[in-house]
Amino acid sequence: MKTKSRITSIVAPVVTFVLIFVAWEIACRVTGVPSWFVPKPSEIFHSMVVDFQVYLPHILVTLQCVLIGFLIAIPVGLIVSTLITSFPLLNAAMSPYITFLVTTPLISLIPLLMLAMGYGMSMRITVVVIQAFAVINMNACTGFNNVPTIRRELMQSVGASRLQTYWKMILPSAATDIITGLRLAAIFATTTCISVEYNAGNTGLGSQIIKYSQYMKTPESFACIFYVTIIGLIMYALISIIQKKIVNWQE
Amino acid sequence: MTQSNPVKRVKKKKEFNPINVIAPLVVLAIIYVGLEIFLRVFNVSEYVMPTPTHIIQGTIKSFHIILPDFLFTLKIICIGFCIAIPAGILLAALFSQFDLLVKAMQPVVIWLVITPMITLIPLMTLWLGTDPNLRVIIVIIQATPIICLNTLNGFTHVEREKLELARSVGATKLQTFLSITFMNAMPQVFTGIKLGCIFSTIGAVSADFVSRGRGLGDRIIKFMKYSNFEESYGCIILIALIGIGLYTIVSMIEKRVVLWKK
Amino acid sequence: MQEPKIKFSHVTKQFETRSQTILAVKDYSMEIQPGEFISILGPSGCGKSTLIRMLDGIIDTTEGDIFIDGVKVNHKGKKMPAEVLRKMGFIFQQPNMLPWRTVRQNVALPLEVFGLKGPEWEKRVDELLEMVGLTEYANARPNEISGGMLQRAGVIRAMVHDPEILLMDEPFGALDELTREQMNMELLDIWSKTGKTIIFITHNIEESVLLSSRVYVMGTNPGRLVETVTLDLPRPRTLSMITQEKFIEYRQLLEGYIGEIDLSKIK
Repeated sequence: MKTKSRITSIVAPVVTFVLIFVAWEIACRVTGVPSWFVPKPSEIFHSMVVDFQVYLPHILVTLQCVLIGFLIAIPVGLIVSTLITSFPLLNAAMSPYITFLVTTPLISLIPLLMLAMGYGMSMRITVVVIQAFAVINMNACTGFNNVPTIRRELMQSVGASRLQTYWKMILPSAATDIITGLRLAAIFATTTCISVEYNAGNTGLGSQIIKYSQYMKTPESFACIFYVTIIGLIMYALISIIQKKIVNWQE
Repeated sequence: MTQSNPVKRVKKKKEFNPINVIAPLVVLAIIYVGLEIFLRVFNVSEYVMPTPTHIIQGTIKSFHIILPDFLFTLKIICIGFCIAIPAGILLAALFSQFDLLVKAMQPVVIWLVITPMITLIPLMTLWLGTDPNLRVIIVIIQATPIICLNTLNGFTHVEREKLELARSVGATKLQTFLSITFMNAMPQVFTGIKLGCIFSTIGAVSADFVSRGRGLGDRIIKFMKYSNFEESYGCIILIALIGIGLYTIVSMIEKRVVLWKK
Repeated sequence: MQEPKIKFSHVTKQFETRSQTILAVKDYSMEIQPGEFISILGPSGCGKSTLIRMLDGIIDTTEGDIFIDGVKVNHKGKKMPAEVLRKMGFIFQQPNMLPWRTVRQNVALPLEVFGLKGPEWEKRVDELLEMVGLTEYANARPNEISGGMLQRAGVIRAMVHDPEILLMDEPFGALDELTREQMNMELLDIWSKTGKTIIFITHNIEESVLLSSRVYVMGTNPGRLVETVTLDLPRPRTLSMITQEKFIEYRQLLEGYIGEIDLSKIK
């Protein structure tokens, strides 16, 4: 029974994706739209494979930016949220700003950061870090603030130090919320990185998408978009796997 | 469980706490004054960071220029967002009716969430033309999947006892969905909507960046070109205000609707 | 006279909220001798939970002092020292297990925190698990076992560091009647074997009469001591005693006190 449902949850989405692409392909062939207008999936996949050598350096640039940004944002987000939630006054003072940071599209800072830091990797990573950090921080704060009182009392009753309480009780209690934050941060990091590349510089998948669309090379443009989603999906999947490994208990 | 202890009850009572308002305002004042002093003392050039006072002055002075763009972006975000909410929820409701459909569609929805929709802007221009109002579509396709994903999550995680309760009183499928599944998923629906409002703002501003011509995103770049950095920062703050405003409205509605949540 | 194990001397606790000050416990005094099993009885909101939380250093006192073995233990704003906390084990109303730990890891939590390592402590964990019949569930996660088993784990967690005092905050209140009776009997058994000092908090009159040697009756608004009733019932206690005349007398007496309190509340 369990294996059967596991098989369906793998087969069903695969079938759906195949159906979507087949329908798309057929629609293109029947209507005969030119490929610069709407490319056929077969052309897109063909380009993804054949021109892989061309895309690879840009994939690596994007991947590097997303990963470094994400990996910096995780500890920063966790440390800041730990600090904020450790002090009631700080918690009250900062809580609107935590939401504020998340709701502000930090990509609006791109033009100004470009001026200050140039088009390079450091500027891109900076934008990714602040956007991803904001989400991780917000979710981790939620997690830390929602630790049940009775668990705090348990740790107090055995005289646990702040550090012991944090490692043995608070961090695991907030784990689910933290992972939700990481998953959102992965999405935000990818989206933000592409937006930055879109607006600045000529390396990275984002820049390629815009370059190809300007030359009406729509299949190539779509190939890059697909590579972006693959990066996002891999990160999303990795986090889900980590979640299953780490948060393997039920409340 | 039935016996609540007095300690917790005191804490649980959510009273209006002035610290929650005063403390953030103090922080705001510290940031404002701190920046003002820091920037003046170290003579930081205004193209790196103008002083808060200058930002406010500049923004007020040029407000008649900014206003149409502000209203445009606000319109795009609000319309897109208002379409994305029912669209996302309806799609989730549809998928959740069939177990197979949930399994089949969930990865597709995740795939859509992950796709940065601004990459489609040049193509959309190609397909639909250059009307700036089409940016609504970007907002819709950026916000709908995330709302759908969270809502679906809520719809598919209903405790079995509650569904059994519905069956025991002979509720129809529609009744069960509306009174049990939907109400039960409310917290997740609202999480989705909140994320949707973040995604909407991001979508609208990045659309402004890419297709230019109108909107606050475009205005930031225009001001920068003419070295009007105060106004640029002013626009960023206005965007942030739109974001936080939407988020606050959603949170307030959530507090009214989801009364049982803590 | 022997020095009391635990002494509350005019203890008062106020909770400050924005709109009002709540007097949770007012001028509470009591003395408990070593090895005694006493219960604190009262309706919800009478401050009985607050009382033992102050004793265990979870909540500060507002006024008054608490002594254990003649040593003052409450110091405002300061954490209670580990050697004092080690003398006590706290049993919560809910099992309060950490869901990511196995039953055994949960039981051993106080040992980790108090830094008690070594084979003799490992052996103690095993013995305690054996005592309450949890040996085969030692590696189960809390969500995999029943409420009664979880509460047993909660009891032995509070005992694992071999405290002299057990503080029990309506420990079996969330359990069904049958399991509750069984647990009460097991508790009496543990008490008679180990001779620990037990403070048992409950709102159940029968339970308080069945278990303890003395009942402190508390009233609400403000939480305060209303009456102390010493129970002259033979030990060991059994469930069959519930129907005995003396037992019923005590029950009615306590019902009278609790009833009075309720009446005064209505006024």
